[in-house]
Amino acid sequence: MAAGHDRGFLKRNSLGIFFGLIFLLSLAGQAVAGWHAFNSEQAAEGLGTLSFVRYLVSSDFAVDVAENWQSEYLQFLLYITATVWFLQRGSPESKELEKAGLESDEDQKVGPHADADSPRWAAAGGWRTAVFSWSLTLVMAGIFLASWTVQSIAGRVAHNETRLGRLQDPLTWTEYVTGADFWARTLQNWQSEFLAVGSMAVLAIYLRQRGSPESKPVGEAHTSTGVEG
Amino acid sequence: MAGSTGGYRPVVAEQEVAPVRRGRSIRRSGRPAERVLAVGAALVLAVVLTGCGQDDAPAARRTVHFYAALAADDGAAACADLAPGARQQVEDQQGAPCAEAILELGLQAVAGPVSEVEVYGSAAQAVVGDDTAFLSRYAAGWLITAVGCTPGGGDRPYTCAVEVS
Repeated sequence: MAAGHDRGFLKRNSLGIFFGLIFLLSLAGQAVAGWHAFNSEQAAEGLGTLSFVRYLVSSDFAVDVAENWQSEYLQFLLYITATVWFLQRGSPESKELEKAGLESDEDQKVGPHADADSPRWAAAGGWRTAVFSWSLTLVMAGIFLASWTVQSIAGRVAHNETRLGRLQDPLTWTEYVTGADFWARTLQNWQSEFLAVGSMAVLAIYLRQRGSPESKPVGEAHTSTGVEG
Repeated sequence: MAGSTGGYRPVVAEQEVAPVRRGRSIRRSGRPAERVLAVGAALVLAVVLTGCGQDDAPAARRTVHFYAALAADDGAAACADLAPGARQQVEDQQGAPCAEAILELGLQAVAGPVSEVEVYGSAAQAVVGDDTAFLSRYAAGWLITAVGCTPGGGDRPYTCAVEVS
């Protein structure tokens, strides 16, 4: 019975578990590969190398992780908020064309329009409903800003480590965040995220993936907007 | 920016990693979403502290020891403070063993304190008098990779009498 129950849990939560596992595997792989790459560069310049544990707590590893995290959370933050107002005719990623905006309390089931099953803060009204109405955006924005801040701090340390190895003076935090290294790391991630979400919204007008909720049903018209399979 | 003072004395084994205090594991509480946020916040904090918490004392001690050894005409002790590549460069440049050659380079010999030291990851820069030294952290601790350095002007690298080759 217990095994059957466990299998039911795994099946019902397989999406989160799958991405959680491949996240951990990828992070571990990045750590090992990054460690070898760092030590290879250090050795080539006659400088000291790091143990694996020291690399895991180094700024070099932290900046490589943080720069990707911030861009991913920014991507979904923008997607969540942009799709409130922006539309894409024929795309399953867009709302129906007449629904642009924050929608009515009735549509959103808040305050007196809440169901018996609605979250408590949706029914509560006042500041709690206001906060809960934006909670996904607030948390995504918080993680984005925290990751970007970590990128700036760890990135400065890692960049200054490289500069000292090249016998150059280190940069202050202000010099670093207004300099080329910080923005090259930031924008190279942003451009790829924006391309990926934008192209998915447009390609999904004409292309299908049978069975995916991110796609329209295979036989749905190209002109249908806001329909998910 | 902490300075370090000290005379000519042997550099003792450096304890560069703070001992880990072992305690009870953190009690898990809250709903799964709250736990995820708490773990995320802890990770961010750990990374920020990693970026900020750089111990500059060992690099400063190594630099002070090097200049004090030069002031005492102890070439062997000075060479022991150099990274392998820097020792090799001294010997290649002078065509003599490092312990003799290092004293012939006309390096500043001031047994004074480090007026400025900055540590970033496994690299450091230290200023003694008018001279600037660069260091890297090896398995054996901090060692000098370049010394007798003067600014190159603007963003150009320093020009150094000795540097890792």
